[in-house]
Amino acid sequence: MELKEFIDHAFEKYEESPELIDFKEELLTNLQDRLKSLEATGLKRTEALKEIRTEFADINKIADEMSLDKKKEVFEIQYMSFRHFVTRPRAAIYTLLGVIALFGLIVSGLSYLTSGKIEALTGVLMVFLALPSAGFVYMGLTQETATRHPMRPLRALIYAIAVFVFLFGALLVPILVFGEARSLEAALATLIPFALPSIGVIAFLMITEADYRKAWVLKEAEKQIEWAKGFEDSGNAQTFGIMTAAVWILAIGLFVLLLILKLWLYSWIPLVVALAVMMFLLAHYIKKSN
Amino acid sequence: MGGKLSSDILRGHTDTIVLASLLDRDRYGFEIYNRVLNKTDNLYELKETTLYSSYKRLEKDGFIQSYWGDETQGGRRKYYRITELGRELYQQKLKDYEFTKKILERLFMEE
Repeated sequence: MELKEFIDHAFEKYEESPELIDFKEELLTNLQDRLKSLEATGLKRTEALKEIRTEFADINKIADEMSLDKKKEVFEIQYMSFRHFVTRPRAAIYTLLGVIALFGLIVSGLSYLTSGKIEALTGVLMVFLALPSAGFVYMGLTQETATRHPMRPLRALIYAIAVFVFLFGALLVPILVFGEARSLEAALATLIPFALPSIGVIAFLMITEADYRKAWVLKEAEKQIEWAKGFEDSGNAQTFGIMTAAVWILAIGLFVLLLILKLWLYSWIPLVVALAVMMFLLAHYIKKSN
Repeated sequence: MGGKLSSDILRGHTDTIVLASLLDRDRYGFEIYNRVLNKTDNLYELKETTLYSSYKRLEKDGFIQSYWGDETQGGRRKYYRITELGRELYQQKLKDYEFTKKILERLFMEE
């Protein structure tokens, strides 16, 4: 068996890639030189070839490494993209839901401005916001992505209906409070048939939820757990948790205070600052644990 | 047993051996391999596959660069060139080795 055939045979199971073709060419010239040098020591050609074959018995290790890199690369490009999983009909539905929601917002704004009644505002939203929201919930849950399996349609439908009922009920509250009825009791009472069962259903579904993560994600997660252990074992996780809670309580307090003082324009600042501080704390404690 | 052990130790330094081979001039695979054979009087054979893994690794991390030679006859040869980063790594590895050697000498000696 000559060198060229030897190399081709060694790599025949591997998919041709520019890297592999490159590598085979590099290998061939090196082995030709090696063959010459072996022959120069007085070995017969067949013996020299045999020697090389023994030396390169594990050459497929490199091909394994290369094709693994290649596989990973292809995998990342093809499967990590979200677009890959959004089919045309699904894309159309997402767009339609978005348009309906926007339409609802515009119409509700318009009808409030023309009539000056809060019923007009929330009445429109009850249909044109609650419906697309429920639609988004259904679509989102049944959406397969690179990292998640889709939820079964029936289960996702129950979620969507529960979200619709909840939003419907929640939007009834301002009508009863600010509308002609002006009845806080009635507003609270509406929560019983609408908000209560829907929250119950959602809670039940969430508690009994399966793990939708794909196998490769779970494998990655295992690696992450090892890494996270250092963070948690050190007690830094607890310290981080307490500090974060403190930061958020402070931020929300400031937010409410600014609202009460009617400083709407600045009310968002504490929340953004809190987020930044939280990220900083996280980075600090992770660094400390490692 | 002794031979096996020493080859394990040497294999751990494959990257440094490759970097050292490229300090004075660019070389291609067989030359690097041959340099190892000659320098060790054929006492030690670094497996060629170990060398190729090392090239790939070093190139990926930017310690060496490769380019095709312009041979007119026969196949082309792939040459390797050490980068500045590679020289720094080599110096670092050398320092590490000097330190390890000193420690091992102390530990291996009889009281």
